[in-house]
Amino acid sequence: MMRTVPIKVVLLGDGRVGKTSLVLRYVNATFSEQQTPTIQASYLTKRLNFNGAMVTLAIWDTAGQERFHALGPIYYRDADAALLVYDITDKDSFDRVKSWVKELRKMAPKDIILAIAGNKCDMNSQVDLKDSERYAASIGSSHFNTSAKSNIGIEETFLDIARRVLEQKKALAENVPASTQRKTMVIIDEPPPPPPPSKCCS
Amino acid sequence: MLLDSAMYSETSSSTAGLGRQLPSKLRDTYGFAIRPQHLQRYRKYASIYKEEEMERSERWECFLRIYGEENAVESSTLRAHEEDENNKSLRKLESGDTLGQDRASSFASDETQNSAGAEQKLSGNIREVHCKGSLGRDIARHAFDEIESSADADKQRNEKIREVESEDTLGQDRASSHASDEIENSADADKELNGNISEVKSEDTLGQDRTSRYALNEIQKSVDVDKQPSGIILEAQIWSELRPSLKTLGQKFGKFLKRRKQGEVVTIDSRQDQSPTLESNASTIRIHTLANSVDVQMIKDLRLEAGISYHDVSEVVGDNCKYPSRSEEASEGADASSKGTYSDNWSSEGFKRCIEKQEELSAENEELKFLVRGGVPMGLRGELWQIFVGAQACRIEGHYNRLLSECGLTGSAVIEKWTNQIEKDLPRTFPGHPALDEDGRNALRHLLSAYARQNPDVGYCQAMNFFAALLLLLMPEENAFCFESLGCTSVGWE
Repeated sequence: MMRTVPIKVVLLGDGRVGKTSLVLRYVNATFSEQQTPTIQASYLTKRLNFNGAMVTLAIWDTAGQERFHALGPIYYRDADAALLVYDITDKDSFDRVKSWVKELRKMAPKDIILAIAGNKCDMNSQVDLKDSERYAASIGSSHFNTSAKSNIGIEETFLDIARRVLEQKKALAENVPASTQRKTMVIIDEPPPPPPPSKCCS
Repeated sequence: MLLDSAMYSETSSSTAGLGRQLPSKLRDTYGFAIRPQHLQRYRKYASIYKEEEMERSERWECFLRIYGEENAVESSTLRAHEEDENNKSLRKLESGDTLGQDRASSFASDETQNSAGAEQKLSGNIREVHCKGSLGRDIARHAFDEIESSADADKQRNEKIREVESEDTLGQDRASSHASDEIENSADADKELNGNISEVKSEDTLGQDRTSRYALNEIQKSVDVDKQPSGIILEAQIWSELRPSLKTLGQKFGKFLKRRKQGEVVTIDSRQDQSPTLESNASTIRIHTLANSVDVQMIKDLRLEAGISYHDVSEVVGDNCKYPSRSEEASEGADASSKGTYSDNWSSEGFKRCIEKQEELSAENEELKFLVRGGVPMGLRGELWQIFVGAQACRIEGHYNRLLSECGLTGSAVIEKWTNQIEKDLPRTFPGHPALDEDGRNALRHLLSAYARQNPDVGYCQAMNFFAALLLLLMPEENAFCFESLGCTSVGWE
């Protein structure tokens, strides 16, 4: 029995850029023109067999509205990867990605894997794709053009995330002794009280 | 095959947003698409639900009939007074020389013609007219309302709209300036009329044709407990009154809610002395909103406004057990300053009567409780919700329209922020629902932006759209607005 590796991925991005559609296309292979807004967040899982390693992608799909921004940390805390989605027909959504990157750099785990997805690539782009690719490279992230509607680039995006996370974990496992690996929490309790000094036979 | 894939999506995800487009025949009673994974269950329970709904409707019908009879008994004694008051108001209104007053007087005369025929329907309003009779403006307003609810309302209203249109060719701005002129011209009698003028205007401009949105009301009609042509009332309006058989219930709850807020009511009285019109209260709110300094003061103001309306309700009901000397006060001519002395009038005799009436009512309350727990039939749901929240009592005439016109006029950054978000979410709210077509979405847009305007602290938040849309399925725009703003206040979201 092979051990499955859990990978926590969080989707971040402005409202109505297609985060939910991306996930539903990837997990359920469905697409709805009439997707309802996500409230707070939704959670989906996908199991992968990645070069013989069983991987479970735990995908947290967050709400995009600015108002729910403050909930972000709940979801990206101890996430292995963050997929930042923007809408190529909407310039503002790309700015939102930049602000997310800044926040993640500050708040999220240092080794979080970033990926940027320019969604709705079946439509005419309002964002300079060269520019966004350059930006992605500058922050050490990969960039994908995706379309949930036409099913473009989604598999690649998630596979890339899984690959990079696995590589990182492997590197980490080689460097660090097993006991202090990520995901294993060591709770240091208060030191046990010293045994009472023996009264008898002093 | 379809079911298989649906099962898959159910097991592999916990998201709620897996709405899928289905043929229109697969919709439940409320017009929501049935998801394939629920299809079997729906087919199994649809007939049972229908039976239960019939049963519920019957029970409510019975309950309301008893209520209505009581109402009729009370109102028949009042009818004589009503005639007097109506004539008085006619004279009063005819003495005025502004257009609006002429209009109102002609309505009033129409009303006297109609009142013979539509007695049963008017009984709720008659009570109101009696109790508020000393003020001509109220008569005019109720005459207006009654005309709207009378059988040939549509034709008359259209004429009215045309009339108003020809008067105010320059549009809504003209209407409001017209309104302010009239306030200056005739001290207090015109305020309500102006509200009505702007109402007619906005009905004309905003909500031209909502028949499709009230497709549900067509269903309602079939379930309609009252067997009355209430469809007329609900059609093409952004505000609808309660159906007559529910009026008593509404008044009772208005009373109950008012009692909870009694402390605030007393403070209003002092405020009313300083600024006798609602208009001025509303303008302070507008100032606060524009400055975006939403603080305790504004919330207080809103509560005060709400309180005023509660107060009106108690006047309307002429509640003897609560305020023993209220009717005497009314006959003396409503004196705002004397309202502050309710507690002094709180005699032991009145208290005893109050207790007696309470006991009398408790049996009804128990029955009501039982009925509510058994479920509210769909046709009554919208109105009963309003009653339980007190939305009818808390309506401020013209307030909603004012908020809407503000939304249209000003374009500051803050406003932009939520209009953007609202626009984004409009097409994503119950997508594919038959009621949410072009008109439905407009109504939803109005409702959401008006609420965000009234309560900028909260503004617009995703998921409010679902809530608002659900309300819009059951009631017209302005009712929903009152419901939402009030419901959120009492829940404590502010």
